[in-house]
Amino acid sequence: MAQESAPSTHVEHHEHPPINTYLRVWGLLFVLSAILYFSDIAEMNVMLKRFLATAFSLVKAGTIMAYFMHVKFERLSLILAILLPPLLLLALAGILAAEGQYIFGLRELFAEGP
Amino acid sequence: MDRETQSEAMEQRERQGNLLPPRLRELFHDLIVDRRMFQVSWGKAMMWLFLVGDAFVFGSFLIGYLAARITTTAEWPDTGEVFALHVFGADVPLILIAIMTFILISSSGTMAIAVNYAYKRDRVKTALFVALTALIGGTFLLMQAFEWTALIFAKEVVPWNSPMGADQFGASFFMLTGFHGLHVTAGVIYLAIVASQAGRGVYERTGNYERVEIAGLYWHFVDLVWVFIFNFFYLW
Repeated sequence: MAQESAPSTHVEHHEHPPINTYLRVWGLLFVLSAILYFSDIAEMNVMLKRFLATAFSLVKAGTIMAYFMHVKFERLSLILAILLPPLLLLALAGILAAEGQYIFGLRELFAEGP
Repeated sequence: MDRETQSEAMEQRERQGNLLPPRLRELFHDLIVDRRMFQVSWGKAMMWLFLVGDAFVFGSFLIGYLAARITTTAEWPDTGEVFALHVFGADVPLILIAIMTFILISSSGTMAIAVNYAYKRDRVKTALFVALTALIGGTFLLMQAFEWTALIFAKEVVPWNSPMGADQFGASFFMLTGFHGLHVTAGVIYLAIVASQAGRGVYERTGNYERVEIAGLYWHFVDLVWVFIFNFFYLW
């Protein structure tokens, strides 16, 4: 009975976006990459460039996952199982960034070379 | 409890369930009901499992690069200069990497089209576009081989030494792009096999074109990783 009340549980259920959607996503990825490349050549403010690059990269990664990898058309349980665990990496990055600053300070104080 | 009250209770539960937004209802349903959780085929679920694991490996490499770059006191080389190419009588910074990026995005596009034709069970076009994707992937590999050769022999960057700045540059570069290149190599072989199977009508006989879609997941993931390497290594 629970199964019947659930929203469509059929295994073979798929939504296929038309081929135009893929071409549009392709175009978007091209344009974003081109903007990133030219923002790197034009010597703009480094922090602004990094912020732009990261924001655009996240948009690129998001569209690749959502449309090319079909994540948008999957069920929420699969989406969460895919997207949540890798967020742990942010914790590792944060810890190593903080520790890295400390090691950098030590090296500047006491060591020569790399 | 007689039949009527039972159905009434069921209806009431039904109504309570409807109070939740549809996506949450769907999520709770999938988590609570005692049966397999993911409504996809095993092949697809296992590919996703592999990709999540691979995301951790690539993520750890990128974070290792972050740590090496933060801790070094030597100056980090300017990637624009290191990967400049001499064309039309001038040094164009980072041009090879930009072309490689566009090539990889294009291969992702042709792969998406191949998957689209696989849904339509079009044997010839599926095989053709998967083969085209493998071919473009091969081009990417050739350019990477050229990039590595130029870096090792002309600019004398090796994993333990780089003349234009911090030595950690070489280590990070060969680690990140090497592991990514390995994935592209494996992907080209994988896609070649899928293209040959699709072309020979293996999927048409079994009536199941899902292997094309699963191969597509892998290939798009390789493109996805390149997005982050491009941003954090080449552009940063």
